[in-house]
Amino acid sequence: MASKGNLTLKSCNGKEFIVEEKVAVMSTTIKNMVDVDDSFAQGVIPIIGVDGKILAKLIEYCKEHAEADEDEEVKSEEYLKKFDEKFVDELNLNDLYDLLKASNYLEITKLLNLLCQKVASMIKGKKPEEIRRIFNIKNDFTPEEEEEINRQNPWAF
Amino acid sequence: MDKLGNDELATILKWVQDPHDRKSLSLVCKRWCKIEGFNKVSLRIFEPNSLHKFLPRFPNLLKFESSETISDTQMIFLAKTCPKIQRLNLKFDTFDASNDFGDHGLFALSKGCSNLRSVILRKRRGIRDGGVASLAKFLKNLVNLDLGFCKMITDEALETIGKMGSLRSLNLQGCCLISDLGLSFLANGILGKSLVYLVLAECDRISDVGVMELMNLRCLEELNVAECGPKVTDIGGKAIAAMESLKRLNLSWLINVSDDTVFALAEISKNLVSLDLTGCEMITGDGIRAFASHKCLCEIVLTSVNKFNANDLEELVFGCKSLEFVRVDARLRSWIPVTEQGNIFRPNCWISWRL
Repeated sequence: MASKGNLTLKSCNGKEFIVEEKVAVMSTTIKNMVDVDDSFAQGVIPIIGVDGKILAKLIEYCKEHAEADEDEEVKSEEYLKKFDEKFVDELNLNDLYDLLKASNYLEITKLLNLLCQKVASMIKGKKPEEIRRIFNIKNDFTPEEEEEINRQNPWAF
Repeated sequence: MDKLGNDELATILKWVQDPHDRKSLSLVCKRWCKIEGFNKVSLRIFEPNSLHKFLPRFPNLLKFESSETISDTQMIFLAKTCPKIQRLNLKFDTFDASNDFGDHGLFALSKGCSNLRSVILRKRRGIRDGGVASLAKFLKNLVNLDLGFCKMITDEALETIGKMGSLRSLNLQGCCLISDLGLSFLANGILGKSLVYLVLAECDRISDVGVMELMNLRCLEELNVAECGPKVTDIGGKAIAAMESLKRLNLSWLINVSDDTVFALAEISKNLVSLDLTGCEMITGDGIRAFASHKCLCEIVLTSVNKFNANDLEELVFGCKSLEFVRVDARLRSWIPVTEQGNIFRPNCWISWRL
């Protein structure tokens, strides 16, 4: 059991992480659970649908940001910016999806925004076929449908 | 990508706003196309004839713009397909108005899109009083209404507008059929308690009688009566000066407005920030000097006003400490000796010499 001020988070594949409460409540979902029901604060909080690898990444991110929120001197805005950049750059596509899903479910708004921006930056300035290649998406339009949308687009912005 | 749910994909797409990128998105696959359309909030249409084909992709639009001819049928379709629209800009920009919508289309739109907050219908000549009545009937949250150059509307339309309690901004520029009676409807309805911004420019049937009615617009901050013709004189001008809430006033080309109006404005309109007197031929240096002791005037336009000289300008600029901008004809500068030109420049007050 976690000591006072700490929470235990359990991934869907059974890995447990003991984290400081201020780190865990970066997630609005967890914050609401703790606020509503005190027993969560004592026991183990199951994080449904998030495996140990992804949960570890989430905690790494929240730890940096929670500490920065507490003490701006030690972790400046610039430091955080660099941390964020490195954090997203090191993710492969699969982890990026998983992390995005998890941060959406756990309502870690800052991280969700960061990841969405990352995906958006991979889309910007690209042609449809390039986007399909990057994200490994199959084109399910018939040539006629594709032409129809192509024809409509110049008429509306 | 299949891992991500529709709401997650939608969250990502919110970060992609460039129209070209949005187009590419819609061509990636069917799912992306659907989500892109579903989350599109703003649309500008260049080819209304294919509206029925592509509009159903965008059911959540909040803003819709088009300057093309739109038929009544298309307006009905728009209202049915995109009921959430809040801002509509249909400022007309085409010569051929033969198939353009009229009251029928406007009725359907008002009924269908009852969340509308801003409606711009400039130069849509097919609109008559009936169309305006449907706006008033259905749009309880309408804040901004622009009917500029909707030349068919009459005093009857103003009677219904006068009953709109939410409206803050109204533009009736060039609605040349409206008269003093219409202004009395406008100012004496509940509208009088909410209207902040009013443009009556080029409504040349109105006279002092109508302008005096405007005194009932208790919170009006901006009034434009430019080019309202010779029937607006100092009687109307003095009535305007007595409107306490007024901050910005445009009296351009009112040839029968003289120094008497300007004296009243300088003395009584304590909150006046901006004054445009372009082409008010009767105004002289005496009137302009009167503003030297005004406490909050920031900008004044005096182009095509001929009966004042550089000394009057100098007294105004140095006397009125709040003044930041003056526009005058460049010709005035040639009358000032080069040695004295520097004298009428004060820091923080820019004099713009119009050629």
